[in-house]
Amino acid sequence: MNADARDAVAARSAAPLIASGLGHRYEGKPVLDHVDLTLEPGSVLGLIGRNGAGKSTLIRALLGLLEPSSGSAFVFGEPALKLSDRAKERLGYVPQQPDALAWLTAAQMFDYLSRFYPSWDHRFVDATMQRWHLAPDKVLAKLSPGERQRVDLIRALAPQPELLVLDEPAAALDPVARRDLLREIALRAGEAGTTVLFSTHIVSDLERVASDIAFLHDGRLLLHCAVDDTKERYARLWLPAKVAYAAPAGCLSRHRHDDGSVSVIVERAHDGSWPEAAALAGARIDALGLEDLFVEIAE
Amino acid sequence: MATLQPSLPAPARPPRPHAADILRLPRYAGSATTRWVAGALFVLLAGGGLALGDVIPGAKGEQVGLLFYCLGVGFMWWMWLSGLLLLARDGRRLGVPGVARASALVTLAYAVAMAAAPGLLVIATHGDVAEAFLYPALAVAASLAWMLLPRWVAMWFGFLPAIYIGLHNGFGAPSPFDPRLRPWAWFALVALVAADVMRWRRLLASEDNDDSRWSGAMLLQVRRNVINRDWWSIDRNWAWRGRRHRRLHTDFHGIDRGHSERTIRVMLGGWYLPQTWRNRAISLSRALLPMLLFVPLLLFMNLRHTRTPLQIWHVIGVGGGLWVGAFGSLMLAGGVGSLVARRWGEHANLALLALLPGMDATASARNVAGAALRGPTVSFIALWLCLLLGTGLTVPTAPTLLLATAFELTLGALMAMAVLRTIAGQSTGLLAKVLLGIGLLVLADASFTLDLVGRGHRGPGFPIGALLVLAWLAMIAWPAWQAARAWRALQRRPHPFLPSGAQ
Repeated sequence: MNADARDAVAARSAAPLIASGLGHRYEGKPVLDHVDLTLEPGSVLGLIGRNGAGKSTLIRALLGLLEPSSGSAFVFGEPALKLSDRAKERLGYVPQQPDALAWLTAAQMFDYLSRFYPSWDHRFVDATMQRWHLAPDKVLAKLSPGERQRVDLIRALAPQPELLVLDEPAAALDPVARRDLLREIALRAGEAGTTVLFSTHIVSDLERVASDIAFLHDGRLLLHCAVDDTKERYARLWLPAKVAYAAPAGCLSRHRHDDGSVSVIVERAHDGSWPEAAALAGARIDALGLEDLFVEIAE
Repeated sequence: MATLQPSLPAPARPPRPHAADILRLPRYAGSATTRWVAGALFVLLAGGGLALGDVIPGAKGEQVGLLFYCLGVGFMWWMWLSGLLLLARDGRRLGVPGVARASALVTLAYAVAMAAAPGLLVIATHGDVAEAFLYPALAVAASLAWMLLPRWVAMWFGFLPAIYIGLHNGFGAPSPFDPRLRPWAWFALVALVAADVMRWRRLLASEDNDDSRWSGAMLLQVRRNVINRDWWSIDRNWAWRGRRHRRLHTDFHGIDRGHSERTIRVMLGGWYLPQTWRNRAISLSRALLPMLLFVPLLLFMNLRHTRTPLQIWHVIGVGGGLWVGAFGSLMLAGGVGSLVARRWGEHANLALLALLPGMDATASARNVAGAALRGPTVSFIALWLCLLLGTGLTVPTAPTLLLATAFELTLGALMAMAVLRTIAGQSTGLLAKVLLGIGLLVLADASFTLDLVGRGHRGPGFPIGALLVLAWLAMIAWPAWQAARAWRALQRRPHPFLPSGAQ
């Protein structure tokens, strides 16, 4: 096998997305702080965080749509800022505000873009436009935000990408359209093995389709694990005032209450045990759902 | 039998307008830049008017001073104070009590104050008080009407000076400060005030959000699109036109991986969009047809001065060439710069191109620059030829032709600088843009005036002429140098579809 072929195989087998020490600043203010993240092939990663946590910036930096202040990002093993055509063909991206090419009709946009993707699925486009009751001859600028988002989803899915990146894809969708979208994501991931990264702040969406979860807070990645692990792995430790001093340091979040008691989010050790403070008199361990965990960390 | 009446609380009365609103509300009627620019223009023009009124003796001085003051007042209302209606509209729509009423009262207060101010000064000098009130009041009412009336009416305002000159030249209409014109001026004032009040009430109550129609007020479109940088309605307007002419609109012929420039032009939209020749001809004729209005207008303006049909056509040719060449170039440079800046601020369009297969990274900087500049450069050459034709027919002297060429070269260099800096991720500050614009206008005016004065003589003397040449060279060289720097910066970028500025 020659070097080029070896590189090609390596690129194909590389993780779809890798962030290595990504940092970024807007007008001097840090919005991403040394983010390390690897997206495994075939996984559905839900990127969750409050508004302004840096989710969109992280996604843009991961895809080479902005030059990060520090660190680097790789898509299928290639530097994100210098993607080859082959890597671009394997990638579908829907931005948070899908307002590209507003002066074209949906049919014109598909006609325009299909010329660049060898695997463009015309039948999928026609069928999904019909199924989602979208008018192909309507100018994009005249569509409602929800319709626009669905057209853009079809646009991103039509080249049959191996990696699908969606920035708050359900933000403008009604419950029915949201369910359709989640079904489509699950279908793509389950049947075609598509790797998906989607950002959201709707926890129920994430619970429905994501296999992995990443919490982004103030530009820092606080947590990255399998969704099913979160309940087992993280809990809230409540310590009464008299033993509050024993709260472990370096927790994901810490809240001191008016009565002097303290709640912290703790993580099991490798051997499955909770921190020692959990055994103190009056201490209590509360299991947390994903939404509670999100609120505890993000508050 | 006693009936139970629900004891609902009495509706709260809207708060009474406060004296402080006079200072407070105008702050919300325009952005800081708008306020500064409009305020500075008003102070400069009103101050200049005051100084001229003092320097020029007699009634003539007062009239010239008044004219400058009226110009300043016009800018204030056109750029800034007409925005009080938007404040009133937003206040009403958001249900904020008292804002609509306070905005109307503040508008009235400023209108009366600005109309009455020169009159108060004139009382001290025992001048013509009625005249000193009438013309500023007309300036207030007309500039407000221009912003409030439907756009298809407001566009005719631009032709009023030409029509008046024609009436003056051909039919002996009285000159601006002639007492015989005064009854007509009072009549115009009453009509304009009535139109202002009607349009204010109508726009305030309107729930229509589509500002792009010809029946919409200029205020809504200019404010939302230009000052608030809400370009969506411009794209929507374009899209709407596209829908009507869908079959003609786009030409995707030849768009594929091998044709990056055409691909990028689709993303740039607007006049960059590849169109069929038929559709392009229709678009061009739509742009040129309104310019043909100049033919009857020029004829009308020269009713008394021109004698033979040949002379009339000469005037039309010259005027048309100068108008299309000079005004067209200004519009082209400004339009191209702002369109490219707009696109490089839209994440979705940039992302689409950045991730589009076939946009070869090594060639794409050249392709992007080519897509953004090739068409406008060809248009610039055509406009330069128009300008040369216009100036060549009137004053076929080397300095005049050089002046026309320098003007076009400067605008071309400024356009290239604006486009390349945007694509290279460098932002040009508002102050730099304003200074460049003022510099170009002052230089063009000074050169034109000196050329006009010096015609038939030896022209401006050595120091002034040399200074002008140096100034023009600097005016061309600086943006060209900036464009070259931006080009080098663009080539250093990983790819050209990165957002401009701090994004």
